[in-house]
Amino acid sequence: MVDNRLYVLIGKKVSNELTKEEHEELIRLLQQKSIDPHSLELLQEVWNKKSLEDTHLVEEKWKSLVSKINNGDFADAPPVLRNNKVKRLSGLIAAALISIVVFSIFFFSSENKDAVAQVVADTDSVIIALKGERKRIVLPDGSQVLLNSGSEIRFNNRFGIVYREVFLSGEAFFEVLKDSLHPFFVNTDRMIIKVLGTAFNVKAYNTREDIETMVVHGKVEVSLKEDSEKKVILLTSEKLSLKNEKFYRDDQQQLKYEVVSTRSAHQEQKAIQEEIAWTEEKIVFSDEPFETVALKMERWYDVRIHFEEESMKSILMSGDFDNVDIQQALQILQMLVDFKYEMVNKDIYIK
Amino acid sequence: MTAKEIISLQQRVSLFDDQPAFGRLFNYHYTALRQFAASIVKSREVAEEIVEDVFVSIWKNRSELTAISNFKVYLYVSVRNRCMNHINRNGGKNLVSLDNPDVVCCGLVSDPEDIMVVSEMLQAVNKAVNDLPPRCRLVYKLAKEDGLQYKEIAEILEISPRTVENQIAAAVKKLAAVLKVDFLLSLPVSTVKK
Repeated sequence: MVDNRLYVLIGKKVSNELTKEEHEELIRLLQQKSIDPHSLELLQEVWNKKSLEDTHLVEEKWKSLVSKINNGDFADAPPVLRNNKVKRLSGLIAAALISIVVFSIFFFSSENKDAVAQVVADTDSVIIALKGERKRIVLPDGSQVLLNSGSEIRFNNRFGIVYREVFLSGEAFFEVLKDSLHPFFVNTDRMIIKVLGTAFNVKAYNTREDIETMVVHGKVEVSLKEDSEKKVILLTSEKLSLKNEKFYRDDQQQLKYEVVSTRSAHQEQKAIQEEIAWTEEKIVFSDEPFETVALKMERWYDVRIHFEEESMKSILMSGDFDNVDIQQALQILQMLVDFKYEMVNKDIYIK
Repeated sequence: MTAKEIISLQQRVSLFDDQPAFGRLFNYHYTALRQFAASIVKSREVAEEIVEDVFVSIWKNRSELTAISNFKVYLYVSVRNRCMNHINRNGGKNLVSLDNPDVVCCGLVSDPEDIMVVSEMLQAVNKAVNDLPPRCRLVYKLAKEDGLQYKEIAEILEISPRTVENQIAAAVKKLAAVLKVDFLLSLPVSTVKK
């Protein structure tokens, strides 16, 4: 029986399955039996060898699969947004080229933070605003998008033929031109926003921050990917906010979102200003934990903020930065909260 | 391909209908899945069809792709289920034919630069592998060639992780024997040191 245990452990060793305890057990067993641990090496060597597979046919099989899935045998199935871009076999290379072109336009004009570029798309276009920069984009239909730091927007050459559709990760402010024949969709990881003609802000970062859509004027319809039955209509100054529960694992089951609408005209104005402050080179936060304020600052200034004390993260703060640099911003924060910091290149340590 | 890369490709397919990303997932998994299917249905043509169907169905339902947490296991389980359906539909005698899989392990080929593992040794290994009981050979193939974890294999074959351990142990014992690595033979103390 002990012999079998030895082989079980050796099997786990060569297939990389040993736990720490089992590893120690194996070493003990080998010692007990006076087995040279080096004798395992040959076995491991053989185990790591992969057999020669006939892979040359895979390419052929892939071609046959592509023709099958593009052949429209089932073009019916996809939900509303999904059937407008199936043909793009050579898309990857083309997309890369285009995005380099688009990217370099921005790069060369990056002195001006809000470089305006007319994007003429003939295939996939990807526009990225790196940390520390904002970009203004004019879509092929004339709609305008202001892309916040650390965000990416994509659209393809079918834009505007049936729908106007973009894919967003990060935050952007949209001013969509009215065109009821070609509804405008913003697709994010968790929700899809349908628009007729309006201005609104979408925030969908892959961080702890909530995922939000706020309407500045006009009307949008939001559907959540987890529950496509559920559609929420948002009117001017209303905001839909979704907990990014990837980061809040405990409240699984229920899909948690809330629609925040403000009643008085004054509140309304204030809420909108806060939400879209970034489009005017301002960072505004009200009753936000230090941690998410830091996330905003990291993207805005292209820095990394480290908390030396966990408890600092949850301190709530309200304030704004109006076109200040990172040093000034940190000094403003120091007026709100008592802390010291040290800045080493792009790393900021909060003490 | 790391698990992270697979997840990112899954997302690209799901959110952006990205066919090149789908192609990479296909290329990466195709051969192993076809071999797995062939070991159950015992026909290369049927196996190819089954694997293709699985990928077509994934493409159809790509909007749900991000909900799949372990794509690799999902692929193997889908292939297994379709194989079972195929056998049942065609009046297979052995309903749960996973008991007698016909696994063909392609031979290991020696590398002239490799001084440690010579080609006679590999021939002996290949022969030993093909002499393993079918089920043991299947588990061995999934762990060694396809790089699946024990718990993934257990899930795919619907057996207990303990069974996987024992099957691998049996394979290792056999390999050790042909490699003349006799673990149970006590070595003189002098060779143990260093």
